[in-house]
Amino acid sequence: MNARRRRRLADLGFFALLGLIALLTWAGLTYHSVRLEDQVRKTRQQLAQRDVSHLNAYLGQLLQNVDLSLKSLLDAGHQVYSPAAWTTQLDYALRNAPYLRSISVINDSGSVIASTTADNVGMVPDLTDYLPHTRTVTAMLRIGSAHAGRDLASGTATSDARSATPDLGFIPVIRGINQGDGGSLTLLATLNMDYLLRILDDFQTNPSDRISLLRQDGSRLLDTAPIDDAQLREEQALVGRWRAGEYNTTQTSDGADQTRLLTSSMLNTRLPIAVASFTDLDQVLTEAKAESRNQALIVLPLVLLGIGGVLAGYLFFRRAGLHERALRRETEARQRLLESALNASANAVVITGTDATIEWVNPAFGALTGFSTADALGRKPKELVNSGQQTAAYYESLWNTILKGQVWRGELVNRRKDGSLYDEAITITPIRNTDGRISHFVAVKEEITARKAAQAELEGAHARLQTVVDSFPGAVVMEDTEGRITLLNERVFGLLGIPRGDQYGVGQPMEELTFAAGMQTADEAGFVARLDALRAAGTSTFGEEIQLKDERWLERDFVPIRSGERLLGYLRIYHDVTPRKKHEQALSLLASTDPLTGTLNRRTFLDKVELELARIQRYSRPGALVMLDLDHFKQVNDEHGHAAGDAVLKHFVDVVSDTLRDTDTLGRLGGEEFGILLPETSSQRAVELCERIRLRIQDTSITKEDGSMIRVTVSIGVTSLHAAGGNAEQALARADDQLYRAKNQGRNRVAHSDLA
Amino acid sequence: MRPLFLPVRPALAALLSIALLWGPTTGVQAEPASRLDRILAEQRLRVCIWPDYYGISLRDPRTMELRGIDVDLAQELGKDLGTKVEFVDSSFARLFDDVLGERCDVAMFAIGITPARAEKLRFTSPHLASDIYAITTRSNRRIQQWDDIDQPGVVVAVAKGTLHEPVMRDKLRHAKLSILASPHAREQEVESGRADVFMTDFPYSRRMLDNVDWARLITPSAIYHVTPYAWAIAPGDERWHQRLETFVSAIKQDGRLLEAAHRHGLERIVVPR
Repeated sequence: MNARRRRRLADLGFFALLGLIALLTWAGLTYHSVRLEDQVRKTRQQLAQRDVSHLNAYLGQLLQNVDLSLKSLLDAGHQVYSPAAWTTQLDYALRNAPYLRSISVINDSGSVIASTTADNVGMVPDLTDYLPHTRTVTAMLRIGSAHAGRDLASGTATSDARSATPDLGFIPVIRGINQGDGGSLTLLATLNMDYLLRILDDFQTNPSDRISLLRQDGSRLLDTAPIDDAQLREEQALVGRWRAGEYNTTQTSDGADQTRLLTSSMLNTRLPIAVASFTDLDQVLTEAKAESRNQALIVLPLVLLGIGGVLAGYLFFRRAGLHERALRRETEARQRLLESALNASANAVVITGTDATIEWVNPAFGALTGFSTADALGRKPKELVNSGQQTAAYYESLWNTILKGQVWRGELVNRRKDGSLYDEAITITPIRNTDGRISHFVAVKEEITARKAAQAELEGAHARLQTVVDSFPGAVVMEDTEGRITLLNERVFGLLGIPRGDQYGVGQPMEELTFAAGMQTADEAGFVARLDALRAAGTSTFGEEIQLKDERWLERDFVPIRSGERLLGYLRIYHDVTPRKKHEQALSLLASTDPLTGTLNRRTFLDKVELELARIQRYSRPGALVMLDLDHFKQVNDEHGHAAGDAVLKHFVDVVSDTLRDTDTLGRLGGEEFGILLPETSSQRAVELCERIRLRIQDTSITKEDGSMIRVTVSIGVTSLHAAGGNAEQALARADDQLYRAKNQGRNRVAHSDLA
Repeated sequence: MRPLFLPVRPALAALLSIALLWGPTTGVQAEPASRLDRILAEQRLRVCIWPDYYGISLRDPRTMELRGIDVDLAQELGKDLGTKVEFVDSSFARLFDDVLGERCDVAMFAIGITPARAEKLRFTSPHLASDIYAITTRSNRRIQQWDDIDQPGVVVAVAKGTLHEPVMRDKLRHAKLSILASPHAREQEVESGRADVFMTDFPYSRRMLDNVDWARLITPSAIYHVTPYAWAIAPGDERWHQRLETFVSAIKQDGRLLEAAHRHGLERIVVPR
């Protein structure tokens, strides 16, 4: 049986229950209504019987009073009273007897001889229709028939059984006394029908009730309402019942207009009178029916309301239940999904209670530790995997963190079921329940043994590399593509002249180090710009020379580091090449200078001239070339020896060098012949300079070892580099022409091509 | 039943003027020694009452306490005068003797102002006024309303000597008038069916309705014959009469009259001003 069918059955059952309640309510109301009517009917019947009984007793008492009054009057007066005395006595008797209208005295011959009502005197009333029937005057109360009228004088008997009680009427009663020889005397009292009617009225429970006062022969004395056929039938039937000895009767019969008629009667035990009451039961039950209806009107809406309320509640809870089930299914599905995800996770997941008892583990836990789910549940992690490798303080810190509700992350060395150790990275997250209290811990474990090993391997490689680098005779520095230092050795600081500082360590920006190194070079801007260019080019470049401000020379190798296609960074290696550089410079100097005087040799000088010529032609700058030749140097050699000649030459160079500017260049062209290159110098200025040189040579002397003095002069030819053009040799030839002219003109003089 | 005192007024005014006109002229000459002085001196006010007058001045047979509107108002009068009140039993039959014979200072039992009485006594301004009412039995089927009374075959009972005797003799055309010796006799005649109704005033009709189970009240369909009720003193004491008039107008104004009438079910016959 599926859930939908079960729900349908529950619905059906519930609706059936509601229907049953409604049915039971209806049945209860109906039962109660029937019971109520039954009860009312019974009560009414009892009431009718009781009323009839009481009324009968009351009227009997009243008539006995009348009987006694009449008896005492007769006893006292039948032999003595004159008619006048009778009248007084009767008046007296009538006082305080409102049920009597009049009392009259009737003599033996049947005529009224005295009466409380004067009009009655002389009348001869008919005394035949009195009960009980007797032909003689009797000393007992006998009841006459109903009469209309105020008193005997105006009264007429109402014999018709259907006739209604007259508006004004009376009932005569008589009591006689036999006086033997003196004949008889009879007292006739008229009963006040109005008075009796009030008594009957008082016994009426409902306005529709009818009460009759009857004689034993069935003739009606008075009643409270007009009689209908059904009542008449019942009334006339009463005589038969009484005759049959049924003095107290109660029966229900069909009344008028299909109603039920309740008739109750009682025959007086002493007097020939009876009381009968007629009750329209339907009328009586009207109230009960109305009551039942009212009850139904109150109860049914309440029950319907209740049923409606219960139904609404049922539907509400049913819907809520469906919703809840849907939610639960959704939650379960989600839970299964999450559990599947956890089960599929490569990481081991352990859920424990706050006392660390394991409540759930995923398969990865088994794979990691070797403990099955059955092994793990109900145990504590420390009972399973504790390796003893961690200190107690470590665990204490862990517990302090998670018990505070914070997430703990760390690494542990644990032991597998087979005893082997493994590393794990573990994250423990406290889980709070809806009250906000910690209810569980979720631990996610990842085995990191391999990672650890790899890391150790990496660290080893790095250490080896560092050792190599540290032992390297040059400065080594590596940067990554992000411009961060990844490796450097101590020599970086010594070689590049950078003070040690944290800002130049591994992980720091390379830029700082580069800038600091650049400060030490002769060309700061060039150093930085060159490195940027090298990075941009991304090619290996070896042996670039860098001159430092402290005259040292470095050589740099720049190597991009690649792993396959991927660029990882750049390696820079600096060597100190100062000694080699110095050697090279010395060699260069040797090749370009005259060994004796230290001036440029002829070839180097001509190179310079060639360079200057190119510059002058390109920029149209002035410039001059000078040729000098010591006069009669052969004689000096001859007279003073070659050593003296060398000293003279040195002396000459010293004087000329002192006179020249830094930018001017002096070269030995051969023997005692020298050239001077004067950049940025006009012919005029060149002639003036040459004249100063000539004069200083002429005016100075060289002192020999023996103290003797040697004097020399010099002839000078000057030519402008500007106008003429041609190459260096041609310019030199022009200068030489002027020198020749100066020699020819007598030596120790300056000749100039423009001045010739 | 409709309020009585509104249509009563014109007739009342007429009767009042008659009563005043017929008042003793000798009373105008004020005697120097007023009864008022003696009352104040003795601190004692003697009030004649009829202790059988329901609603007016009735001695409760169960407790012997006096109850009724005039008893209450006599006490109020005593309070106003600052004297204690002594009640003296009297009746309509002994009215003249008791008032004129100095047995009491004032007769306070709703005395109907009739020409005969006004001839001998000095009345205050009326505080009540009652029309004539008929009492029949509740089972009497022939008398249902006032107009059923003056019909052939109907017997109307009145007590001899009451104001109703002359009034009814004058008014009845068809019904038979039965004049009886006592108020009690007329009740018996009606109860026994020898008479159909008896005539009485409002307070007495109240007594019947409240005390016997057979009585039924028949109210006049229009104003029938209104009689003003007042208090009576011996004539010739203008200051005493004036003091009583002051009291009457005071209780009419300050509500004591209406309050007392309400207490005894007589508000319908109060003369409010």
